[in-house]
Amino acid sequence: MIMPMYFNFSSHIWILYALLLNGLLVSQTLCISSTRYRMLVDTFEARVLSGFFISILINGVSLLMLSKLGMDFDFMKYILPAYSCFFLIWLGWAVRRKEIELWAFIPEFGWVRFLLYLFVFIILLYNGGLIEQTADSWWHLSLANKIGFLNTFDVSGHLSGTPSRYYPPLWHGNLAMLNKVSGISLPVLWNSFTAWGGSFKVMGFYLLALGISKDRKIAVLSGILFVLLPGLGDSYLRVSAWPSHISYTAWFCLFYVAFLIFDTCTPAASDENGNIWSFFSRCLHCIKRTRVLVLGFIALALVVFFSHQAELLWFASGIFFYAIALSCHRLFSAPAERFSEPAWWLLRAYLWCGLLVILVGTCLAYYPVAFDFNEFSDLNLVIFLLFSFVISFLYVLSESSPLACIYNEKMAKTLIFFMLVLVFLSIDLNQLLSLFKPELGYPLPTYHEDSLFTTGWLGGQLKLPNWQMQLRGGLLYSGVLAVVISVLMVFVQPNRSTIFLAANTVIPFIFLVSPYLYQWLADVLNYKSPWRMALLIFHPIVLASFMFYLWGIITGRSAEQ
Amino acid sequence: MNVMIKKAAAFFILLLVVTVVIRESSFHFNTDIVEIKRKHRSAQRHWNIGYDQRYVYYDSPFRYENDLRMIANVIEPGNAVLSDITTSYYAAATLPVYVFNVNTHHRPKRADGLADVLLDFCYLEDKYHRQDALDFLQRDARLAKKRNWPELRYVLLNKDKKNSMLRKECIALRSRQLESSLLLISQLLYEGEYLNMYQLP
Repeated sequence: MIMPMYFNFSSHIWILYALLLNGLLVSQTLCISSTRYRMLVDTFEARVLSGFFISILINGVSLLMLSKLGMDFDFMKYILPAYSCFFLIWLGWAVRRKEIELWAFIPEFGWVRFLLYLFVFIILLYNGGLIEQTADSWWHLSLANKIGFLNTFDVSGHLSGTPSRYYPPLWHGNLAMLNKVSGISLPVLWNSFTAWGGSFKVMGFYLLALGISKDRKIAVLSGILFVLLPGLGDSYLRVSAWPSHISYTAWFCLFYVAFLIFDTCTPAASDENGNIWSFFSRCLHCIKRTRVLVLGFIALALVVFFSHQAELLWFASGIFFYAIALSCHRLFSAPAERFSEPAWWLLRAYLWCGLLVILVGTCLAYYPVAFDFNEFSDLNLVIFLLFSFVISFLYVLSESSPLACIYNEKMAKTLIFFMLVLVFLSIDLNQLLSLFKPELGYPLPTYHEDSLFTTGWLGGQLKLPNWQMQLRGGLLYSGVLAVVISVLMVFVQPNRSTIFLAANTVIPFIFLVSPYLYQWLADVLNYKSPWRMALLIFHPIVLASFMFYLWGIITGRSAEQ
Repeated sequence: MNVMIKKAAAFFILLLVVTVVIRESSFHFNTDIVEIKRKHRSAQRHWNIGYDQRYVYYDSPFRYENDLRMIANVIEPGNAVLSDITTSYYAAATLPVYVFNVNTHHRPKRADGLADVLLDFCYLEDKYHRQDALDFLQRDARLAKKRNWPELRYVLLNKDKKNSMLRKECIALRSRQLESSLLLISQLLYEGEYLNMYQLP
């Protein structure tokens, strides 16, 4: 007996209503009321995703209020329609007030993109969500079930009754609410939502690619490659109902909004060099000019924080790697070929803060054991490597600081070169080769999520990621090809897109093959899967950009035209 | 001439990249992978045109919806249930109960010695296994009371033979025998098309 298509039909209607409608109404109203907001969500993808994120945030806040008041989440049956009525009235009032034409409601739209999302939706409707195995989906469903059963987000030990780890509950709360208002079981809702979540994720990736490349064709091809290529964890479309994948969608949008902020926050020439007060003044001025973007950024950050959290770290890392690559580019490139990032003044400050955080984090993570120099071990080498990195880049940044008198360009280049040599010396060749030849790999751990172990230069044990953990499938061969291509593209066409992509392809890859860097990452982060830094390898965008670049050469037109 | 060479080189490199993309994307259209992965019980995280709804339909609790709804009406919420791993997860996701036969990385401290307990429950018709099972229930009740954990009150038996996720454990494989042997130590609360719920003393 084949499960009929209509089996889950009502669940899709409920998903549309509870997880999209209210947010879309709010988003449309804000489009009418604010030109800046309309520019932010001008694309079809941004409009739909803003609707989704606004809905789940509104639902989350409502559920929190209900739980604080000791009320049953069943009340959402009345609250949701009340919201819908209120938002409809608000929308109608805004339309009348501004005398907007109906065409103003329609976002920028592309038929190829729409067909891509429709394809993803249909194929996931057909394949279903990953619930046919006792995977972690059931752990999440259990959490959602207990949130609904106990009418609170404070649910520890949802599976067995014994205390378990905390998991950000925004998505689980929304699922619990959907279960309560619709009466449809959680596994059915999870299975149905996979089709929506997969489409949203591809839309988010399109926005990420658009934000990076500023080219719609590259963004469309990136979206297509994201669907087709094996990729890393974020591209598992049948897993799209997981809270981490809701977070990935918001994470992609975070980069999109961040780049919009960077484009808008161009300081005046007279502001380029100044003291810390002029910097804060510039920041305030920038926030004032981009307040809608900043609010959008904060909303997305909240979605990430309350659904999975880790992606905030990867976002911070992604921008940090971009800032590092940018400072290297500024140091080593000739002025005529140099790409001028409008938000360099902001990224420079971010780089300063990031380097200090790394310094402090390293000291805290390794104090006092590895600071005992009586017995020099590989852990001391880890600290030496990180301190060298921090000092080198702090020196590079000193050019535009009160300590500019100590800056010497040759010295800066030498330090960076020295850093590169240290990093390459830290790479484990066996680990690199075992990516291509698994038989060369280190012994696998008993539990598949644990790290591998290797021996450092001084005989100490250091950690490495297990390629089996989603990495080999994603990196071979398009991921590895992207590493090479991204470096080439920086030399051929240095711009924001190529520098960002190269930084976020090469540096995470180095973390995967350098036991010293990986050990540091594992020690500093309180996170069981530091290898997920590889999510920053946006190889579909690298390949799409490269393919359009080559096509530009073949047809005699550059990719930028 | 240089321009022609540049264009030719670009064309061949583009061809190479497109070949890599096509080669790497082809697995989505390879229906053999579906059966290979199912045979090895490997998670099919990527979409595949050959992966149709029946795999999810049969290997999930979709067919048990009615039974689960009826069971939710007869049990007392907030207690613990013993079942096979797969059905335990289904129960945790759909019923107001707690479970402790789950995958190792989700397993709580309370579930130490679970393998022995499950073996006892699997062969309740044997008096020694039956006595061991009853002893375990007494010990667990004392521990649950002391630690303020949910009390183990129910056993959920899954009689489905089409769900391939159930075939791993003894209490799922011997569900027919357990239908009667469970009555030796518990009371039948609900008998459904796929699920039976028993209340322990």
